[in-house]
Amino acid sequence: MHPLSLGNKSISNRHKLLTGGIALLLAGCGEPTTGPTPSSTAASWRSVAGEILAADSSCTACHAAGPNTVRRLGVSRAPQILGETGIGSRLSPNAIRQRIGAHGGELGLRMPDLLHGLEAAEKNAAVEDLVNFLISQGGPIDPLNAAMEVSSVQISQGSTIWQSVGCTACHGVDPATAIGLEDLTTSWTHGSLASYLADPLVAHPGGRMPSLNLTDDEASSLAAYLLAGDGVLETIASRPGLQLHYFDGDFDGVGPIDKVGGSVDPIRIPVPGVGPHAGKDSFGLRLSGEIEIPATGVWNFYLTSDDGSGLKIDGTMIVDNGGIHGTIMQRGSATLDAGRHKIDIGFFEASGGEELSLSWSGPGIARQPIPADAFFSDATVLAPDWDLFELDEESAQRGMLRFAKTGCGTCHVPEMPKLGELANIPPLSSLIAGRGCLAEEVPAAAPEYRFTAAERDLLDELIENVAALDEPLPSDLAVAHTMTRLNCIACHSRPDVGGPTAEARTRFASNDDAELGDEGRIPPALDGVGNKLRLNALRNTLTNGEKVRPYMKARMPVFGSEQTDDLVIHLVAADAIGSDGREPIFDDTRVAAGHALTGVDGVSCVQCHTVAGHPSLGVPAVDLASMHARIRPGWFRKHLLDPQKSNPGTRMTAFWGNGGSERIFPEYLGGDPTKQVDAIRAYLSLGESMPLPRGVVPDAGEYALIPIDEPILFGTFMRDVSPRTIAVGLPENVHYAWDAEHARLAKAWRGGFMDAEGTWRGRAGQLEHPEGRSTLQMPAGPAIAVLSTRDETWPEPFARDAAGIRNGAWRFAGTTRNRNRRPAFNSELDGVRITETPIPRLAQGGTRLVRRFTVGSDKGRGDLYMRAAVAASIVPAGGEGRERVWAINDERMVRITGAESFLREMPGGGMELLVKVPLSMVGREDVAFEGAFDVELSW
Amino acid sequence: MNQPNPCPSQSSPSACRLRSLVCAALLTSIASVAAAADESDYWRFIDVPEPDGVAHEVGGILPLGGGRVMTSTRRGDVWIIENAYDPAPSVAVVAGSPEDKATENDPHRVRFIKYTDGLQEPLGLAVHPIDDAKRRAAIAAGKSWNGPVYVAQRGEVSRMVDEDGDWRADRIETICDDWAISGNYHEYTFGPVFEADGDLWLTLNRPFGSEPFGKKDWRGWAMRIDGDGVMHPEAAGLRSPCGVAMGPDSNIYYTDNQGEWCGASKMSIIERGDFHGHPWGIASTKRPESLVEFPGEIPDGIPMPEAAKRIPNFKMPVVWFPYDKCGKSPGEVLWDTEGTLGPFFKGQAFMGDQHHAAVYRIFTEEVNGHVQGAVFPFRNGFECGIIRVKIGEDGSLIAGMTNRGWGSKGNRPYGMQRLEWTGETPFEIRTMEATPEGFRLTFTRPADPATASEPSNYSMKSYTYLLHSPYGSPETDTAPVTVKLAQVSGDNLTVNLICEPLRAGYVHELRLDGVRDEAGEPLLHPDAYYTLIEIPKADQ
Repeated sequence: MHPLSLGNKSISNRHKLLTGGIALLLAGCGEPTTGPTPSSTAASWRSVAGEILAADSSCTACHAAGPNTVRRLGVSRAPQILGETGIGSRLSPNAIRQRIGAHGGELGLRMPDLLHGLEAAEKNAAVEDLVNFLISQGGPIDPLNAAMEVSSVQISQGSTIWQSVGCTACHGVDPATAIGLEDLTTSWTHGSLASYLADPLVAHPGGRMPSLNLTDDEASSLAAYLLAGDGVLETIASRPGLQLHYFDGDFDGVGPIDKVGGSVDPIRIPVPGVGPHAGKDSFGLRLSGEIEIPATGVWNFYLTSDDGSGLKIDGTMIVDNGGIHGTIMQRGSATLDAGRHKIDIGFFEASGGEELSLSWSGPGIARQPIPADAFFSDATVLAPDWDLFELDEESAQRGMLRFAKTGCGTCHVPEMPKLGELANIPPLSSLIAGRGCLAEEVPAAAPEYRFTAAERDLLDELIENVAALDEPLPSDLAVAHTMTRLNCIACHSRPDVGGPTAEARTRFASNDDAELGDEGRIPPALDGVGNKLRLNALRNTLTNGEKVRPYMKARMPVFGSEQTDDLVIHLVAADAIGSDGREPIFDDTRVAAGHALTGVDGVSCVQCHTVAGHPSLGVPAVDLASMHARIRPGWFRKHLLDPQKSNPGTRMTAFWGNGGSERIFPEYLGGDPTKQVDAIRAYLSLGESMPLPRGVVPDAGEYALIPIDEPILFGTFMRDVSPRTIAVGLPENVHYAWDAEHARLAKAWRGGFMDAEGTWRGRAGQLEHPEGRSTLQMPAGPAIAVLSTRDETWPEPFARDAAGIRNGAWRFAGTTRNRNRRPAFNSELDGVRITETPIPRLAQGGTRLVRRFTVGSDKGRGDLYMRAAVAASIVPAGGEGRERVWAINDERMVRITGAESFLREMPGGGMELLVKVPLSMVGREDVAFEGAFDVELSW
Repeated sequence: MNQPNPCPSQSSPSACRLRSLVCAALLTSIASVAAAADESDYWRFIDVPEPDGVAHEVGGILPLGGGRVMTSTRRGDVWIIENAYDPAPSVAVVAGSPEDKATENDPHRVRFIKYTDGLQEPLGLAVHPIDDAKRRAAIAAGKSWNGPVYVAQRGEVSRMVDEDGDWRADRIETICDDWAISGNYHEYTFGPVFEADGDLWLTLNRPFGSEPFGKKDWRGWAMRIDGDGVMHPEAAGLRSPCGVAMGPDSNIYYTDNQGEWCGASKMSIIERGDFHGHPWGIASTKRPESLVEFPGEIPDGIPMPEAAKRIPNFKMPVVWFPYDKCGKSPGEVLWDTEGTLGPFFKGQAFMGDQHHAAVYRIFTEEVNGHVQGAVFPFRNGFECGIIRVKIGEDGSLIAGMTNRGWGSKGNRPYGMQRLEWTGETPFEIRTMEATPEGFRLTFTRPADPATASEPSNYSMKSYTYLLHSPYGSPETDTAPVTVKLAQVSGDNLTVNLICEPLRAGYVHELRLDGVRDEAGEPLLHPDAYYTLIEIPKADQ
């Protein structure tokens, strides 16, 4: 099976339109400029077309083949239809019946007819038994309970999603006539369609319908839009009351006043209030609809709530009663004309009691709660268009046997052992052309695919050359095979493979705010992409749908790693990485030059490129902080020196003119263009932790904390740390949280430091969290402990009871600051004085954090240990003696310098990396014994 | 005023009486024609501006001398403010900023140096008595003192040191963190305040709402930290004890904010074993460290005098601040020991109120072993709510202001203003003392004996408050007090009021709307609020 393909007017019938990928290849057409070159590769392309058909038809599900062959053809796993989340929980009985009876591409399915040998009556009975069995898998759906009320806002948001994220690339523009969207309202409920859209790979692990990374809210809106299009629905305008949308989770400010959807079914409420949600904690509400203003004039609104709330009328905030607080009333006023106005109320509850009410006063009306007859809202009822199905248990039992016997499971439940005749199906290698499934008249025992003559020819050819399938497909053809099969070419062009038609290119919605022209609208061409992107970047994009172009409305679909893992390898192999792909030297001089060149005093990349999430001075081109991790060094160098050559038509400026030979900024690295480009790359290799280039104005809310000149210390309550957290932001853009309550370093992170709004706005008192990503948790408990033997278990975390009594001889002793204001943290343990100084160290891939420990004691002792890591796997990665490197879980490294480090197994499994604290006699006046060592963390 | 004498001398007693009546009427009309006296005639504001981008939400003030003032803010910063006493400041800059360079030669600029950051709600600054002597000496010599400063944070008392003298703290030592905090916004720590022997005092606010890291002991308590940094839980029952200060009598005073179990805002003395009325933290009295006896179940809804009788160690206040009449949320208190706010008020106390953005004056005396006294309005119209007050090196009152989270009068969200005495003497009640039969008032200027001796020019009532769980108490058991006799002294500076009845445990609210000075001017503030806990015995 394969995704639906579009366009191609030369093929008239619906079936061929749906299998357009193959049709396109067969016809040798598509876009003349981007189609395959027949003279050199016609034979190969023809074999690829056959392989695509074989993959979509799941030939190898019945006809065993070697692993190389299976891998080369690709796997098209059939939908998951059994169990509690089976097809009965998704589709109506009729839709299931239709699918069993439809084959050979009708409804876009490549499912064979396994019952074609039966007499009509027997076949009908068999179908009914199968229908009953399949409905029992998670169903039947009660259509009455599944009726759903949605708002017009949701429907219009769904329409925007449909037009922008990429649905139309495969399905066509109009959902009413869209391919694969027939009979939606007789097949799906709003709930089942929304959960299907939110993660299609659950139902279709083969990626036939890829995931567009929709949030639950987006999926709900899209489902509402698709189901609302059909006219069978009841729409009631101006019903009394407001729509109440409920959202789970922690909110702040005025709550989810602009949020669409809601994780629980929206209901309606007569007057503003908490409704059925009283007594819960951690939730938000949005109440929306219209308010009838009785007379023109100035109206006062009194919004009372616990916790925060806000009132918008006609989209303007009238009352802000935001923040965590007890029952507080805030007043706002607006001059309003008599008549209906749009009203939105946001509300959230953190914990404790909750309350929400709204009063008004205005011309002729003294202050009073607004009565119910002033509120209205639209509602669209999405009612499934079918009757409740009465499950026939006996029929379902028969259906189950039929399901097993007929062989449905070979595709749908591949892990099920093949029984009886199914076990004796000949392997792929011993098939004979024109027989069995490929015969013009398919025998009763074989599945009927209703292949066309042309398709039969392709498959005959395939099985005649079956031995060749054991060889891997050449990479360029493998790329073509996969890109065609998954219909990547509906959005991306690639030489010799294809690309979106001129008409399809017009459909990509532009983001007017971005002003990036077609580069901001049409997904990038994939010419030489294997030479451009690092393996991990390709994998992130294909497997996780990682989005590096936030301005682009189309989304990268996720097909599942099974479908795309090999594509990554083939792209890299096909595009033959250039030999100049050496990573430039990384040192402080180059980083400094790169920093200067990137800023407004240099070539000013920041004019167009976002920087670690902070806006550029102009258009929002791809974030510089992501460049090093994504782009290979050779391509980076070529692209900066001569952008039009590596990406024709790009808006990227050629700073070093004349094909990259012009010398500019002689004060940096002698004006050598290649050295300057390499310096920029060295600087960008700091990733999220790169210091901001000059000219960038941080995207700072009123309370954003951005360390630029010197470290920022921020005392706050911090989630998962303690109410006495000293968060430290370093200009090197690696940050950490020191837990003064338990005298320990708690976590470190790169990128954004913190937003202090929760601590500095209103009465505050929120628990803060890091702004940046890539957070590293330190091992639980104290960093340094006394162990009487090397085998003694690491002690319990430091703790205090409600009265403040400690569980041991430890205490936090304060901070010291050095000349550049970098802090060190002092603590005491069993008479020993410990100073920990976190120091940033620039490094490729992100600035590291060095934990420098200085330990002082009045007496010599050998029972002090530092715990550097706790992980499932820790292995040596170089060094010896007092300088060793350790790899943690194959993900990150710890380097211990100045002390012996060793591993030990933990009683419950896992490993601990310990450091023996070195103490030697120094005989200073302030301290008799002292030791110092570094624990460098890279992650 | 140079008015012709309307009453030529006559000898007949009846004529004399008639004459005084006519005089009084005429004088009244003259006074109403002349511009009414205004607080601004006697105390003027001078702004201490903050630089753009600095949220100067002042939580602590410490004058350092040489024009420098240290402040701590609710955002966790500590600032050194240079040229803080400029009579006409032009601009404020942050040291090291481009504006700092650009304004180098401006003699009127105010300069902020970031001493440190990263503290958690530092709401007070203090200096150890040994160092404080040095600080005072430096100030007297016109120099700046830069020594160790103690600061109260939510979870610890710390000592800050600038070792290299660049006005940036190099070391912050944790002196004591023996109490724990729950992560509730309202768990503020107020203080620290040093006793002469070097022990220091803190008050711990009670939480409101969620306690994400678990409920903790000692909330609503006053703590003494000894010289070894060990905490001693000395007194319980506090609510929102925003101001802590040591009086010239070496007592530790604190102010508390009206609310549940705190019927009216008040100023009280804290002594070991006290219970101040709020039951929030009484479970902690059962901990072995507690120096307070468990007060038992707290009765809900009894008048304060009864509470004092029924609840063991129940502490009655020095003064209550009647709601709205004397502010709504008291902050810090200071004593003007030098009389720089007006020599006539020398030795009296001044309290900055957060809600009213105003300063109130407090006169205290000891009666039967209890310190009590009267509150008077003093100066309105600050630009934001005041939580901190200190006397600066030039004798002005420095007000530290913030209204974040708790609204206030005034049009600024935060900042600092100074209040300076103009040198003019207002006509004010200087002192109000309790006597066995009533009250003795002294004035800042001689009163007109005719109006001052007329009992009908005085009106008085008395009321108390309830100890109860609802938010705040109405004035309770209010009754009129008759001023039977007003005896004016020969110098016209004192008047002795014989009043009936006097009720112990009640606020006695006095209005003197008809009393005039010799020039016929009314009092700048004709109202006074005496908290009569003890009635002096007749033989005193």
